[in-house]
Amino acid sequence: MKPILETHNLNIGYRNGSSAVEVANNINIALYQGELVCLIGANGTGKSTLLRTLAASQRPLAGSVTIDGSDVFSLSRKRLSRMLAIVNTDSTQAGGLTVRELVALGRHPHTGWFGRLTKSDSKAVDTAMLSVGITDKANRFMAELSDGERQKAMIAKALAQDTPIIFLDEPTAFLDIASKISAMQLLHELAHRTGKAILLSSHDIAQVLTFADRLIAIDGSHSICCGPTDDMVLQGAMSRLFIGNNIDFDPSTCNFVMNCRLSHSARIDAPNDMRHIIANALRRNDIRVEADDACGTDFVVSVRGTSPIDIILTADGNTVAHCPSVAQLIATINNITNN
Amino acid sequence: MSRRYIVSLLMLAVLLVVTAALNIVLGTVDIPIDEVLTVMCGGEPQRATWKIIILESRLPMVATASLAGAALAVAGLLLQTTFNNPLAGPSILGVSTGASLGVAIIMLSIGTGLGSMFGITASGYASILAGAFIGAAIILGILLFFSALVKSNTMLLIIGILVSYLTSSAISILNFFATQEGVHSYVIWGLGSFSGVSASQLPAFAIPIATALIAAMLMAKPLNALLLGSRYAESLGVNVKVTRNALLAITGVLTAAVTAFCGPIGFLGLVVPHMARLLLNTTNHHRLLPITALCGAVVALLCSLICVLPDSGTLPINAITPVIGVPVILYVILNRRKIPYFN
Repeated sequence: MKPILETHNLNIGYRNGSSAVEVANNINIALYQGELVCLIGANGTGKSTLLRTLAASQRPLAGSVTIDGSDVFSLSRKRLSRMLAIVNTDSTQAGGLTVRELVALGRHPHTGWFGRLTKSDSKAVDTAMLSVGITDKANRFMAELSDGERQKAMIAKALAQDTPIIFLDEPTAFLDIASKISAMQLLHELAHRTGKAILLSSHDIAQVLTFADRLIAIDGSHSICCGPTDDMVLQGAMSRLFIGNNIDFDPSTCNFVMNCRLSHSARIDAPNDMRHIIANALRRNDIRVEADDACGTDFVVSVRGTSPIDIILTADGNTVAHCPSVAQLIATINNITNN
Repeated sequence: MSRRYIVSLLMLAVLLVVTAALNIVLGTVDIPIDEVLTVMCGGEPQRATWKIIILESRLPMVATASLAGAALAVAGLLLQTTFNNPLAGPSILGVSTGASLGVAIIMLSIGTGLGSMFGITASGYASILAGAFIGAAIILGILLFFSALVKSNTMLLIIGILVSYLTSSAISILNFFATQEGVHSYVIWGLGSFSGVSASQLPAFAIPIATALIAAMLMAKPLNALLLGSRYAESLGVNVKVTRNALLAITGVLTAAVTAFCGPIGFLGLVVPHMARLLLNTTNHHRLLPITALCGAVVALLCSLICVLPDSGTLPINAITPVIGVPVILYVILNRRKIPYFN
């Protein structure tokens, strides 16, 4: 399938008079219709810069971005506004507009000089509000909404703009976990149901790995790699994101965890639902958790029973204690490591 | 169209007619109401001077005040939205100060024997107008130049304030070296007056203002987009640079015309947009622009009315506008948490 958006040897960064600060180079990525793509990377690696460059809001240092074959910088603002809609975290002066008026702003590229809404425009506005679930607040002022509702209204505005591509810069940043999940789910469903190409940047790794069809990862050395989500994870793309910190990627929970390098180690032998809980407790107390099949760890924690809870702590091959609770386990370990 | 909008329109239209009528009936010279009605219906009053006063002085003054009020109010609204600053106004950007500098140069260095506004010869008056337009146009040109260099709206506003300070200092220097008469003329002009436009000069005043007001009404759609900030406005297809330049040009024409004919009038441009937003409870420019213009006309006529109340003559306009303006701004500032458009 042909991509709807492509970059060609793109170098992104900032110009400062005659000098230039390069943020990332040699970027060759493609967006396809009907997919939700997530852009991930540490702070300062250039996610927002990349999004701004792709949206023709900022000039690249070299290379080009094309939509349907045309260079985005050669397209008129009006033509571009029918191809691409954005959602970001900019603050606005729109507090005095109602939700419906704000979402109706998304019809700008489609309305005439006076901005009058035709029947189909109004229908697009209503559909957009219904998709994000904000119809009941349609006549409230934007200033009266919570952060999450305001973000939903902005997403509805981008939907009302009826473009084949949507970019979102950290759309779930201010949302609680339920709203984060419902927003990601909505975006995923939109991509697949309406065939839009949706690209969003996010720090929320758990939701990204759940909902993204494809990942664009910018790692610590500012190089960019792109591919289907699960294959990228299996190829170790996640562990390259935050190099040099005490942070590891745990494939079994698909989450980043703290893992101190210089401390006692332990391996866990437990049923799935208890393993993660015990791992959290160990890490919280400065014990490094190795893989389940590792050898030569200082401790081995085995769970022999779940009701009542029976945790066996083994150190250097010898059974040290039977603990009836995780707290007891931790207390025992701390006793040993402090002596 | 919402009920609130229609009610506001009707209410303001009624107020406009009432304040205009009061301005025609009341004045420094006592004219009985039935005589006023006679003149308005085309008849001959008991005293010939009354006809002259009403037709040549009061009616043009009403027209001038309405147009000036509408012009300044709309200019203020355009600036507040463009610069994302609720305290922006035509005087803050230095456009009216530029016009004042133009007038100062004419009055103080070239025409030192001009006397009061009414005693000016035709060529003297024309040169004052030319001076004001050129002064405003130069400041506008400077602002347009910086607008191309400076992407941030706040920085452009600060540049406008700095340019305004610079022009004020030039005016002070001119005043320092001028004659006593020249300074007196300039000070009187600086107090602001709606009475300086004669019936024959009215078209020269009205046409640029009417044109600019119509142009402003046409900008409602991009103005609404600008409420979201320049990034979002760009993504909606608005050419932010061209739009900003067009808005600055319209504001410049409105401000220069009013300043040249009426002197520098402060506060109306700053305050009336807030009154309009509080009245309509919206920042949607499709409804806000017409209401702001009407509100501006009504407030200007009201100020003009208050100015003729004292028995001993006419108060200067700039003495009254803060009295009306400051309470409104204080109210807005103190209640800003509860006001939607402020958040």
